[in-house]
Amino acid sequence: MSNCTHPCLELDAGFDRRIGEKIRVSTQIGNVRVPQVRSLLLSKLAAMSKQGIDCRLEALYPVERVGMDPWSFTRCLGILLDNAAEAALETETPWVEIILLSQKGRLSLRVSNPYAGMIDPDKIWAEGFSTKGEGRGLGLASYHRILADCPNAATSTSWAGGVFVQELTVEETV
Amino acid sequence: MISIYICDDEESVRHQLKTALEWKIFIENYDMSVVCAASTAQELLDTVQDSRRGIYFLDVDLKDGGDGFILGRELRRRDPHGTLVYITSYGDLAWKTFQYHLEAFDYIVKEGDQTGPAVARCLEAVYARLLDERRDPAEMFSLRIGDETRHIPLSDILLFEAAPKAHHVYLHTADSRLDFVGSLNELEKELGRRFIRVHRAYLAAWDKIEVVDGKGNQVRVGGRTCLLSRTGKAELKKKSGGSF
Repeated sequence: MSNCTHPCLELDAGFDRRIGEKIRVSTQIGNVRVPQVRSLLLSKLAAMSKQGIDCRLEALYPVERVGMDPWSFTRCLGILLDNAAEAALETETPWVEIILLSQKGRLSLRVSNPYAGMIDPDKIWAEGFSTKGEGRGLGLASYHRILADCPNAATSTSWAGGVFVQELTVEETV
Repeated sequence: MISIYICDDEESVRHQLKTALEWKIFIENYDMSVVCAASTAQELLDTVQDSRRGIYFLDVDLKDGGDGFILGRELRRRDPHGTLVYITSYGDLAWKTFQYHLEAFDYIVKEGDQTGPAVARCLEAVYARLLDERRDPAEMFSLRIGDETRHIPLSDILLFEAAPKAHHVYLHTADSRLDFVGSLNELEKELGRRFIRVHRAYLAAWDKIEVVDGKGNQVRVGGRTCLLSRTGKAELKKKSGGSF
């Protein structure tokens, strides 16, 4: 079995870089090489598609490392995607965009979605915040709690023009 | 005079782009010139010496293994305010990645003899944007996040806040909160006049302060609440000439 996987991985890598990228750029899941992240993305993308959410994933370069505990990262990604899907479904044309950029020593994740309603900047990071009303959206508080323990992670949020964007950047510690 | 650079590994494409661009420049009388039509990334980089606000038309997939994204990164380093336009053979490249991480202007899909007109239309759009920028040059704050530099209009910034994480700072605008590595002390030095240190952990935009609550020791800045320290109060008094 192990003899089989190596040539496949090499083929996969070559395929991705030259041909694969060109043929199926809009589904660059093949570039996501961290198993937990890949699994989560596959299942979330499938679920969102089923709900009628137009999904877009970009992973220009292979994502091989995360720079933090992969399970924590996966959990954070899951929270962001759940929130994004929930908010998007309140709009007329729901979509979710996931951009993963792996560079030397840094991984950047960007999740965007449209939203309806108002966002109160003072409450946005509080426990229970959600554009759907009070008491929902405990996810974001967990998200920030997980990341509070990661000194090499930075998060940015913006909500201009009816589009909610969450960015998570993880610097690889040397 | 704005310099235009082309990079594509196919001679026919280089010729097509150069012809279309030069024709457009001629009939519109733009103050621009195509100064380079390189076949490799290295050739292009060797030509880009002192470029300021150049316009770069780049093939995304260069056959010598060159990487359009990495080329864009390097060009951004040398010409932070340049315009990057990507040319691709395939309709669906990872466009958002280029757009967000390189601030790429647009991308054009090669479509036989329609490529020339598409490039010409793109040049028109770039020209319009350059005119806009010149007419209304907004003072920008440069934010470094790793290899990338983001530009935020200074007038959009409400305040800087010391983040819980050591050496991290939050930048607040009306519709965002960005997290970056920085120091309020350095920011205060850098932005002195327009910002006021109302608290050890808050550097607020002077012209965005709405309410000063001396008793409650807080300040309302563009809808956000900041803490106000005794030193902060003194700063406010000093700046406002005694009344606020």
